[in-house]
Amino acid sequence: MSAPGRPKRELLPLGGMARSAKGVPIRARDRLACCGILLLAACAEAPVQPVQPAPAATKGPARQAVDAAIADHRRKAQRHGEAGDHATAAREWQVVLLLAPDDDAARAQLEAARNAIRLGVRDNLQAGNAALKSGDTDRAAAAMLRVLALDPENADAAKVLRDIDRQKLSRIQGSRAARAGQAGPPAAGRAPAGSPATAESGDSYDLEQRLEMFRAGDLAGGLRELRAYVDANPRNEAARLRIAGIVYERSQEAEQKGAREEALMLCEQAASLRGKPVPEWTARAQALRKALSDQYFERGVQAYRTDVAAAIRLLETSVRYDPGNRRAQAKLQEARTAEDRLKRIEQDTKPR
Amino acid sequence: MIPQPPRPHRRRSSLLRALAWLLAALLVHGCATPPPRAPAPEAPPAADGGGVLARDDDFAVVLARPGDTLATLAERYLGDARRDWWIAEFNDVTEIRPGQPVVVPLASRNPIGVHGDGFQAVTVLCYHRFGNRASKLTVTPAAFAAQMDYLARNGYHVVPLARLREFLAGKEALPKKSVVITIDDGYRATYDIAFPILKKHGFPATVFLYSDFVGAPDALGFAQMKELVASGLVEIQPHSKTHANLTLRLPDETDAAYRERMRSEVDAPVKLIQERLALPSLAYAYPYGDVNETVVDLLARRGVALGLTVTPGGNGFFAYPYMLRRSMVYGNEDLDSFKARLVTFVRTAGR
Repeated sequence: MSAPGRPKRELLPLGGMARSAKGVPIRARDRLACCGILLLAACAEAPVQPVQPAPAATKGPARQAVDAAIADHRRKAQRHGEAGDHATAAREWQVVLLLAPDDDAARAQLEAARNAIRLGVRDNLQAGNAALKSGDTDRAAAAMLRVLALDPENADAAKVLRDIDRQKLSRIQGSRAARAGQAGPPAAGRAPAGSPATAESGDSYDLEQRLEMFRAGDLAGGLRELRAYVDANPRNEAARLRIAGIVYERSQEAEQKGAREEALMLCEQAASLRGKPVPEWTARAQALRKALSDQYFERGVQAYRTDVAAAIRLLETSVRYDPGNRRAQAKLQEARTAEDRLKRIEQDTKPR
Repeated sequence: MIPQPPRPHRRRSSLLRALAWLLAALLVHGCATPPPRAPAPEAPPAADGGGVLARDDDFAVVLARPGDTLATLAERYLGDARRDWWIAEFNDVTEIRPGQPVVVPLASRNPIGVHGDGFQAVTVLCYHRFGNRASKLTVTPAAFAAQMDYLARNGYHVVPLARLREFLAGKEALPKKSVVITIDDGYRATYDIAFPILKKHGFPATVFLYSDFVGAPDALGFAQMKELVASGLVEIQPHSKTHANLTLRLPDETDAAYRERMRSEVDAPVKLIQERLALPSLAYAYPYGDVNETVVDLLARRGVALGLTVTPGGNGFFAYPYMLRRSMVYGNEDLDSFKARLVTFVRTAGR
């Protein structure tokens, strides 16, 4: 039932002619306007609705993996931030934001971490420089490490740390060099032997290294280095005993191989390095000298038949090894006389 | 009939009707329930063709595909498969699986290895001789093999000495637990005993040769040295001419004479290695680990960038390049002693 006197409203059929309640036909222009308005309204964007997170069951595996990664990096960021490791925390927040760019909370946390870095760098640099000024290098180094933990590219902190380490290592080297050279060969500026600074070097590595050189066959280098060690540590009896024993053993090995000259040289070096006479070694050196003298005497006698000059060289060596070798002395005299005679004959027969 | 002009009230009524329709349409639209939408993701997990989920100047986040490994990702995104450890360390993983989001750090953000709780240190191990009879400076083949196995099985990275130089310059990060292997003097046992074990693990090493030793019965020959170098694992570097202690002067030696002798101790091995092995000299190991500023100056003028002592300990990025710490490995010590020498991280006091 319609109220009298009020126009009856109709829903507009989109096709036919509509009329007003009074029977007045609605004009086509009005109908078109209405249709346009309805169409526009239908096409308009729906009001923004808050997006409810979809239940996990509806997510694909990739989405789930990404969500898990976001959560993981968020946890790490929070953990590092709480531990005061703001640099790592900032990196983790950066990753969170890469995966969830609309996460305003993460953005705020990143900004907070960056602020903490700025403040931390400033405060620790000040503390480090103050410590450095007061000569407390340990505290200065610790502060500079904190700066670099926050800002790995901080050149000032890196320079301070490098300077501190260089000074430290130079001091270590200085004391090593002093120890190595204290009782060594005399040189200008070195502490005199017997002064308190001439404490023995206790560095067994130094000795082992020299012994290895010698054992490996660098006899000249090894002996030179062992001599330097003994000179630097004259009161280290145990070291002298050990060094000399090893050199003497090597002498015996050389003799067994028929290398008598090397055996004699090593035997004499062993005795010298020992620093005290060892009767057995002295007797052996003497025996080696005699054996070598006889060996050169035999070779000299053989050479005398064909080459007098070579014979003289060999016989001289024989006498050098054993100045008491009378046979060698006599033969050397004979060879020299023969050489003089030959020279005279040569001069007399030269065409004038 | 005379046509009448339209009355003004009819025009107004037409406008009112149109406004009413508009209001009605808006009302209907506003009340309507929007069509159900697919759940909106927080960030699209859509990866591009290369698997990249997101990227900025510092990081790429990629979705690992079947067949991807840390090395293939490093090759693809960092241009160098050997940087696989960048990815491993950032993600705290040792391997990846398909479908896993992986963060690739596109630049080394902390090449100096300083962290809130301490700093990275690189241990340089120093060996001398290898042989069946253990002594202080002679390590047995079994002990050396056990030490190398320990490094391999416990996540240590054996890096060439050249990479330590880059680390000290702040140019290149090194993996956590990085160590360098050096072998002094040039004993033949380096070739006979150590080299096969190094090869088995693919571990690089530097042999420091003192040039007067060449030709001694137990010394490396050039044929062996060339083979070592050709392997790509071993480099030969100078360790003086005579193996004399470089800080000690001869009796009555003048400053000039001393400097000249030191010049020979520096130049002779450098030249020999250059001439016979075509190798430039990057590092110099001091005999007995002892050095002074005269020698450092000569090395710097020669273009040698690193000098190695035998002061034990690990080297932080700030270590003085001409007095690097090096830890001796003794043949008469056990594996626990060896482990104790591996200083790869130095904890600092709390903040």
